[in-house]
Amino acid sequence: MSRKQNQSLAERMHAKEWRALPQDVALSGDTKSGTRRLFGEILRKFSVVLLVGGIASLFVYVWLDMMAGFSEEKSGPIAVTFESDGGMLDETWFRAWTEFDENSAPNLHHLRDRIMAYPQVSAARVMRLPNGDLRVDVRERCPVARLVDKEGRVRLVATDGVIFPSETFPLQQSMLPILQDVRIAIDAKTGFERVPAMEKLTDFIETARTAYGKLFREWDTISLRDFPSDLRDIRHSWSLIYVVPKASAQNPEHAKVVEYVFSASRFREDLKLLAAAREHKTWNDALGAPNRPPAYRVLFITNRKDPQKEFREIRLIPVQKGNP
Amino acid sequence: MAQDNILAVIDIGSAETKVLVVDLEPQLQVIGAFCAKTEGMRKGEIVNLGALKESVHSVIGQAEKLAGAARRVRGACLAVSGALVGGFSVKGLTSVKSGVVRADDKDAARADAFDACLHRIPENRHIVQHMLRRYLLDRRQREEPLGLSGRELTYDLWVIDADDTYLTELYQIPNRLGMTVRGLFPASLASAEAVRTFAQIMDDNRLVIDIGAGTSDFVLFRDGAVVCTGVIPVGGEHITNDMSRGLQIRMEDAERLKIKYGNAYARDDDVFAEIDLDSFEGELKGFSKHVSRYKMELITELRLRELFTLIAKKINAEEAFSGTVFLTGGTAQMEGIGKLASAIFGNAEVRIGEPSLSFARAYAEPKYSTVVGLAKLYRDALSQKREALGKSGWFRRFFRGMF
Ligand SMILES: Nc1ncnc2c1ncn2[C@@H]1O[C@H](COP(=O)(O)OP(=O)(O)OP(=O)(O)O)[C@@H](O)[C@H]1O
Ligand SMILES: [Mg+2]
Repeated sequence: MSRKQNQSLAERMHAKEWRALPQDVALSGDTKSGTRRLFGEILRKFSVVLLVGGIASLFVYVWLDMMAGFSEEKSGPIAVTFESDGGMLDETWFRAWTEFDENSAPNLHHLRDRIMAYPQVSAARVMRLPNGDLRVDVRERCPVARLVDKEGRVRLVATDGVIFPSETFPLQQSMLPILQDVRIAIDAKTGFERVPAMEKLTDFIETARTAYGKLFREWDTISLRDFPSDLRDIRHSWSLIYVVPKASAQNPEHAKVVEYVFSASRFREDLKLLAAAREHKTWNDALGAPNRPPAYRVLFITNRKDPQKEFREIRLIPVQKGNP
Repeated sequence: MAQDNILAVIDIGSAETKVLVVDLEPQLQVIGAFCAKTEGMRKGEIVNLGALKESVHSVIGQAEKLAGAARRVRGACLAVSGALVGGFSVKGLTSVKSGVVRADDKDAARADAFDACLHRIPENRHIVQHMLRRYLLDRRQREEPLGLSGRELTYDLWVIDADDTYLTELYQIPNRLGMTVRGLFPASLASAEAVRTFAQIMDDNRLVIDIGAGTSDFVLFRDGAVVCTGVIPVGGEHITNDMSRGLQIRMEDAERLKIKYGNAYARDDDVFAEIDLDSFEGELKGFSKHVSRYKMELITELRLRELFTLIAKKINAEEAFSGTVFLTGGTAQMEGIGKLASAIFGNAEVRIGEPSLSFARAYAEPKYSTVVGLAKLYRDALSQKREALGKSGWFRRFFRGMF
């Protein structure tokens, strides 16, 4: 008998075995335990579907959130509501800076990253409104001083030290004092240029601006040549802030005072002392007497004659004019 | 998760349904078992499929619960028994061309036997199992004919078949519970497997009779090979029935009487002895009923004698039987049954067989033989298949189990 015949015989044999009889495996509620099992099965399938569906939708949600923007479509141009608490940046700036394309739905995360790349912006929030339009909220950095580089380009220094361009600022902001002898650092996180240890200086400038406006308005430049860039620096306790007053008609004193030298740690006392002295008539007497030297440097020192009662006092140090 | 290595082994007896939930890996282990009365079955035949399903399903459910709620059983192994199961022998013949038997000749003889079997088996029946009885070389019996010289090789095949309607009805029971029938074995072979003891060598001549309630399954081994299997539609239920009629008592009483006082070998020493039915469990009845002990024993004996004679006739058809007789199944617990069997089977040694397999120590009662043997047979068949297939199937099995 040939192999082929053998094979067909084996097949015929198989067809005649009990396994060949069809089995209709189906849970049906024929019997009590069958019904119970059927319900259990349905419940189980349902919960599996629910679980899998839940996990899947979680993934989808996370993915959509990540990709926010690509998915949503809006016919027609996208309107943008731009709001800034500093009031200097506006929608025009926003459109120019982000090269906003209103015909395609943007990726909100990329958009926000782009906005944050502008040093003047300290915080930003980008939202998509239900109708597909955008809402952008921006918090700006507030300038406290100016920097003028060799080419005469003016940049602004924010309270936290970040340096940003001044194009968006109107001219009256140029009343801010100019910082000199600054060691500019690069912020590791954002990549922005910044003035180190600016917190302390901001405190000084803000104190002067708010409490001693009259003095502050006379100031022209602030030199940081004795101001360490690291606040933890041991020299910081005796570091000095040099302030040069403006040379203008409203400031007759300038002719006499070439420089104020404040202590970085005790500037509050110094400012108070100076303001008080300026009110006193002996100040003008001291400066204005004809037989006096033509220029002074104003110094503040601690009088320690009696260690129990040490106090700050003003010293007028005569200087050779044109050679401070 | 459905576990593929968990299987429900189901023996649907006429009196009781026994279910073992077994773990097949790494070794056979019973993890849950239950046994309860079967409804819808009388004298080994299905009389009410709905009621039968209901009762079997509840037993499966209980066994599963005992096995642990998390286990969802998806496979079942069943025993076939009853009047609709039959067995016949066919012979395949081939002439040995070279004078010495080679593997080719064996294959040819086997193929001829299969061919004959396919011709013989009716349209409406399917094969449950088939096995080699023996080889005959020039009409002489040979255990292994390979290399022997002769002219004509006969392959003697024993086929156990069952009626399609019976099988489809049987399949429905696990199928409706979401289980697939993975294994199907004749009850007789299963019982024989369960009562086989270690001491027993395979080539023993033995006759195993599982006397249940509605049917008695028997299998005859000669030199370790199955020679003949059969089902006789006589069992404990018939004895109870006869008692109820002969003694004019209710069926329940007859059943209790049989279990308590039944004796298969009628003692004629005191023919006037009587048994008081009221002595049962203090049950109060309006009147007192006494039955003759001798009459009762005689009824039992006659029934069992009929049964054994029928079996003896079948097994002695070709060759006179000599060997050990194993009696198992619920009715094998009957007093004096061994003596009776011995008398009928030519003074053979008779033993009452209980399942003696180590994995089922807790089920060492004659009525559990079928179910315990079934588990063993399925496990053995599975390891054989695994060996043939190799390990590659585990991945598919794992994924099939996921849903
Ligand atoms: N101690 C005993 N003495 C005599 N008969 C008994 C005894 N215990 C049980 N039986 C009988 O055994 C029978 C049950 O046996 P078993 O459980 O093996 O049958 P089954 O497997 O349900 O039926 P079957 O195999 O015929 O389908 C019952 O008829 C019962 O009366
Ligand atoms: Mg049985």
